[in-house]
Amino acid sequence: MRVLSHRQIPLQPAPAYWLALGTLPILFLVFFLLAPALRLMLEGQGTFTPKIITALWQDNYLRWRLLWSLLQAGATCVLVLAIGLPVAWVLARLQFAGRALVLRLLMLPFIVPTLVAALGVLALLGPRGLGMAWFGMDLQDTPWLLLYGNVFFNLCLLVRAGIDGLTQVSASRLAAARTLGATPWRAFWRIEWPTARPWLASSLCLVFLYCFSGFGLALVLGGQHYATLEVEIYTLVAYELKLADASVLAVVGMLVTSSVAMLYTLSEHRLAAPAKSDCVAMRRPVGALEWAMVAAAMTALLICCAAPVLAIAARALLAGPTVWAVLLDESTLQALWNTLRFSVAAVALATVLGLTHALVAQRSALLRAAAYLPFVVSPVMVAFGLLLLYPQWAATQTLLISAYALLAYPFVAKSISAALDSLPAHQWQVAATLGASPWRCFWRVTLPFILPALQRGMAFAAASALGEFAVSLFLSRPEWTTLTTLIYQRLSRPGAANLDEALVLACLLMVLALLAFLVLEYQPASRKLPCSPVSSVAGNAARA
Amino acid sequence: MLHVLELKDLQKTRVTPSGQSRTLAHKLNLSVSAGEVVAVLGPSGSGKSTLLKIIAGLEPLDSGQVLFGGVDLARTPTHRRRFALMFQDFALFPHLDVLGNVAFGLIEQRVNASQARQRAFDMLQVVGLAALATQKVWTLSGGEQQRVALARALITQPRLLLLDEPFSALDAHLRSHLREEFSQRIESAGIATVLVTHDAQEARTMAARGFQLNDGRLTTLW
Repeated sequence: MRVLSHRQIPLQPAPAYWLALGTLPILFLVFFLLAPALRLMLEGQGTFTPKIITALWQDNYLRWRLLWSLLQAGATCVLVLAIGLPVAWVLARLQFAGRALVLRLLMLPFIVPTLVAALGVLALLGPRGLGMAWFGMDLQDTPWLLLYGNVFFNLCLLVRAGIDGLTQVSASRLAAARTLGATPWRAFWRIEWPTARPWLASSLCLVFLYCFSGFGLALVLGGQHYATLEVEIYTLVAYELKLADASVLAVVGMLVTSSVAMLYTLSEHRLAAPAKSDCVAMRRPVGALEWAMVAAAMTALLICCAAPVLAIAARALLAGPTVWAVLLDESTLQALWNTLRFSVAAVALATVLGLTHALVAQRSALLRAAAYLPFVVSPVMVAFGLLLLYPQWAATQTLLISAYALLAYPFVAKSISAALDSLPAHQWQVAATLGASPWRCFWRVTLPFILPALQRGMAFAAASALGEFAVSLFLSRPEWTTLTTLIYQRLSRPGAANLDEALVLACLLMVLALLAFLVLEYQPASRKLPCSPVSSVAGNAARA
Repeated sequence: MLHVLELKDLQKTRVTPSGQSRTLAHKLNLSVSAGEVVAVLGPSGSGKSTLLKIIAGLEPLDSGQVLFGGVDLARTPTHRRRFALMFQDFALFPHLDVLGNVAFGLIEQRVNASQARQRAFDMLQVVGLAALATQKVWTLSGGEQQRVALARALITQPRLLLLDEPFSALDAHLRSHLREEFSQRIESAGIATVLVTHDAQEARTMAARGFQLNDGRLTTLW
């Protein structure tokens, strides 16, 4: 990955300063990610032989798990591209009432915890869902539930990337193509599509990564037949105690995710310095066709992104007041307290790690790429690796919170890195000539500039910590039950009442995540800058 | 005449992204006297801006010396040199208002905050922008931003003023108007100044001596 040469500040803080600053995130990554990943590989070393791989491949059950993991991730990529590209075009080119609100709402799936999303899909299309009640449609034990959940989470990611890509299209090139005889359709494929393609490719890598290594959705929506590799690893560890088999699968999973992550890093490199050209001006829709496109885009977003959230709220409201009493249960209050304290601690740690990582990453291409590492190793693998490497700390709050922070801090690091990239070098150069020392330059120029990005990164980190599920399942104690694990406990019990209680708890978690996001991201009008330094990278990172 | 700034045998080479080596300064010598304005002209990419950054301490040298008042600045970091640098994009701080921008350098000199703001306000009155003191800088016109940048640079009473294409972002009419205003203010402040520009007319209007920078070498123009 490229390091911007104009940011190399030879006469700014000495290398020792940067080394000291970089020690914290580097050590953290080594202790809580690289060493556990290595331990995971060593666990499978004795068994990770060609013979075992062949045996694994010949095992119909495990082969299907691997193939299905790849297939559902690939199918989701195709689906979100097919639905998301037209939606992105409409939002990038056409100005209509409510567009700004829609753009803000595109953040919603980034905030909704995985388990809440899974419940939303169940509330809509599950055995006792609204789809069943209204249309007699029950998709339980079909692949569609998981694919729908995947689309819910990833469509907005692709739409945002598509908008970013399409805003890079040069208006004059588009006009030139039209005057040379290209129809709007041909101009799209020959001018707009090639420009937006790198952004779309980059986001599709993230979509694939997320779907392949996703755990919560696959656990709840996959059922017996459509569970993924991650769920299988969890089952082998938690229920069958087959650690060696689990580690072989984990290594296979890591090979896939690291290959895709490498592709993502390469594709993101191409987006490092987007050439802002003469943007195509937005216009009001003209004619029935364009209005129909707007309506279709909004309907697609409503069905794919809003419906599961609305379904949870509707089902919870219909459940009746007796079910809402679950909010006052001692177990709920305890889970709420645990969720809050773990999340606050994790966000605090993630902020320190993310900030230092982003600052040091400005000087090191390697460290910049390292911010993606927690995305490469899935939460299940992180938790499993930690369990193997530090069994004596398996049920300690230090390990639990560190694992939370590990999964949350890339959001902060990526968000701040993007802001630092857009900080003009002239700003601190002038500050330095006006007498500001490197530390004062940071305090008076850099920090105010990156503050919105820091807040946004923290907001995403909070959403991630509040909704963390896999790590809690592996590393938690019964008395440390969080809202996500409490929801899962309710879901695991039979009966409609338990499902209703899970839905009410999901509402609580959703409101909590939304509140945390809004509070952390809040900026008073007096502090707003003319253009936000936050790029969509934060959003991309958030969904990764 | 006593030279305050002396550049001796500056050597600076940069490797381009394509791997080619480009000489930005080759045994470059230049001296500027107290209160004198010296212009350096040259095409884009000739290394004019890099020369200013070398003087300011923002770019390292391959070899050579930057002397000020006879003292080698090799070990003096940027923030202790007391040189003011003005960029063509003005580099105003968007999170501060006009007054905050002008007071920035004074606060770094440990001047009491309220005193710094009062002195900044006085300076804004001098440049005719007192009415805009509480405005955000991005709401100002190009000319107003330029004046704020000058006020910010001059208020710290720098020992040397470094101007990097200070008028290139402005339209022709405003450029000629501000050029005269700048010349007067710099002259009255008596600060040695190095002006970097690609506009020969601008250089001739403002500077007593002019040089052309090409292939890392300075040739005297006038």
